[in-house]
Amino acid sequence: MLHHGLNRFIKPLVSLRLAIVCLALAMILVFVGTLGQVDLGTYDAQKKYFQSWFLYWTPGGSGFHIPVFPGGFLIGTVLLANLIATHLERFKFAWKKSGILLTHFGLILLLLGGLFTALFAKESHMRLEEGIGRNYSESSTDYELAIVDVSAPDHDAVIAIPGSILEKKSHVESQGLPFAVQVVKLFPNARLAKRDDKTPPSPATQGVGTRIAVSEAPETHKMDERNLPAALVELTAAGKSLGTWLVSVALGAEQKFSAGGRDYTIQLRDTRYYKPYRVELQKFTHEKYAGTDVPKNFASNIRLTDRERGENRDVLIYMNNPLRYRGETYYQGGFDPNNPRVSILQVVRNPSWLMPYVSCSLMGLGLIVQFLMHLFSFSKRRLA
Amino acid sequence: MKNLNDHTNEFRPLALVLCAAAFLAACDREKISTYNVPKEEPEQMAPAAKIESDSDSEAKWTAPQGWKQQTATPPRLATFLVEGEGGQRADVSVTAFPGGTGSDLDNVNRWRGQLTLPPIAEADLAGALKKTDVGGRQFSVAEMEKDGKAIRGAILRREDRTWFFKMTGDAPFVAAQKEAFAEFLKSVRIGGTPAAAPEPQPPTAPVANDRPGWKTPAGWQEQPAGGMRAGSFSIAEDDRKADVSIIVLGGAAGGTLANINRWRQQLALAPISETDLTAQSQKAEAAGGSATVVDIVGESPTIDGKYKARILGAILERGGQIWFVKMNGEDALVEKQKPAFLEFLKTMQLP
Repeated sequence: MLHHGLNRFIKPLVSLRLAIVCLALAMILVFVGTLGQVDLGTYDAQKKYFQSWFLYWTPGGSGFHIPVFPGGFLIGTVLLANLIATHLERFKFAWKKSGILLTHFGLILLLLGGLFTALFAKESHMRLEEGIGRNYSESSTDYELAIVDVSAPDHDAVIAIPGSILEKKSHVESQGLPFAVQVVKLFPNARLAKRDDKTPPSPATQGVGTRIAVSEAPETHKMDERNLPAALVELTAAGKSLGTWLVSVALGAEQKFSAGGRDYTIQLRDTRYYKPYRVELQKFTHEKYAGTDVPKNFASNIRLTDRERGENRDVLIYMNNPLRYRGETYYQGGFDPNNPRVSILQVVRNPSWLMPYVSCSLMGLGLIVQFLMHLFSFSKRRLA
Repeated sequence: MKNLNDHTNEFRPLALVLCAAAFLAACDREKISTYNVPKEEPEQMAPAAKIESDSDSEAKWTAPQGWKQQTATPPRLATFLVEGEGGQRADVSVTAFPGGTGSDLDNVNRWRGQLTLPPIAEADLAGALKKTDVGGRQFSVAEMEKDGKAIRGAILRREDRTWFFKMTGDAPFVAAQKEAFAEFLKSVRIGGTPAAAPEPQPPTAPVANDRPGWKTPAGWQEQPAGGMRAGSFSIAEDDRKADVSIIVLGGAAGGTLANINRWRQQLALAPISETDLTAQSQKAEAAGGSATVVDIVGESPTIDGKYKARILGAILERGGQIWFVKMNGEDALVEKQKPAFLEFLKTMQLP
């Protein structure tokens, strides 16, 4: 028997009714989430329904977010707590039950693995052209406002403000930035065009934005399309405006400016994940079935250089043969139909990638043990 | 009373879980991050100006015998592939950047970093980077080697920009190419003034939500458009097939000639020059304007070993964007579909 105090906490969670309610809620969630994909697309639906604690309802015109239904994280967590509590409460080791125990332990690991993957796994991509090397990968969904102090001769000091913060706050200040960032307007998806005499003057007063007309575009959730966010940001130092810049991920390069005797660049870009090593594409082999655009075989011959670890080697990445290095996995992800020298590598960081394998093996083993024990006792009884 | 108390206790843990969940939901995991990164190597930066390699009057060079010119992609101004016996190879690149582009020490250490050699100190620079007079100009040349790979790099400082010539490859082969490399440096002629510094160009990527319109000809099967494609069709007749793609890119996208040569390359045809372009292309009515149309056939049967491949492509420029409509397929089928293709161009409506 467990300690009484602990028992009081655990007991209410030990309930078959709770488990069944959770499973029923999960079924509803899967159903609603699947329908939600029609409008939101896979990525956003997954975030809203499954990788969330609650589903919120926002009454029209108000800023309130009222939780109306448990999200995937909450259902999973309660189910996990229920499973663990049940084991703590009723735990009594017996060889007869070892199979069941193994299976349940595997299930607990699987639930935890799902949670860890949702919380910690990061997916990004690295777009490389032959002869070009990079030490960062980029997100396909998230963007950031990068303000970089480029004054130092040997390094750049980066301050990256995630897009999610720009969406929530109109005024951002940070240590290390001698000025405040005022988000004048944010476009989740924007259309840019060259300004001509007919378009009204641009709100941007600095940089390339003065020559560009920007207009809002409807957001897209389709898998094969992407939003091109843009923003008008004003930088202020000691209450004085340094100017307003138009930044957009559709603008290829960063814009330079000086403030307080230092040189900076400003750019809205896909969120970057820097690595302590470098990947350079040496050769991209891109075979298609003759006369078609149907891919037959892709392979990226890359050079991996890591000064810290003295690594300097060639690696061939092709379908089902990824590179695993320093906790990240590089898959041959895609290509650019307009440039045969460009390879796109998918970069996945998932610290818990082994957990599903371990948990499924445990569950399989548990079921086998349980089955064999039943089989033995059954055959013994028949022989007797 | 006791019962009620019991119930309260019973729900306490559940309430705790809910509170924890609400807390986790409320706390914002996205934070402003601050970090230092090493300076991006000049090879990743935008070049000072787009300089067409040896066809431009600004910079000229002659490749030594056996050096194969490759398509250079910015920031490279030229790329050569040098191959020797037994699969030995080296890559030669030419880049130029405005201003000083870091000290000699920075550049030598950058190259050393590419071979994972430790950086050297200022005091060792004189030994590592030798001033060499080639054809009356002062090049600074450095050689380094590690694990069978070597780099021989030359830096030429001019008033307005710094030029880098670099050979990377198998160490014995790079050593054997020393003469050829010197010969190459000697052939370099640089003149003229630099163009303006690069500015980010307005639209560089297709805006996803601009939907063009068109009338689909009979026999064309509309396919889901994915990736870069704004539209996609397939045409099939017996065992002959053709594919029609519509792609839009921002900016000049390399220009009409470069794209036509890219198509020619897909059919293993030799590239053409600007002067041949008028003779080898025609103008056609498209989307209320005009398009450049090319019709090219491969020389040998490449489809299933019996049919020749043919590309019928149209290039249209509209509002700072460039549209590519391309029919790619079996020779006879493309020939048959050509009137439908030209009619299709006329029906197109572009945003």
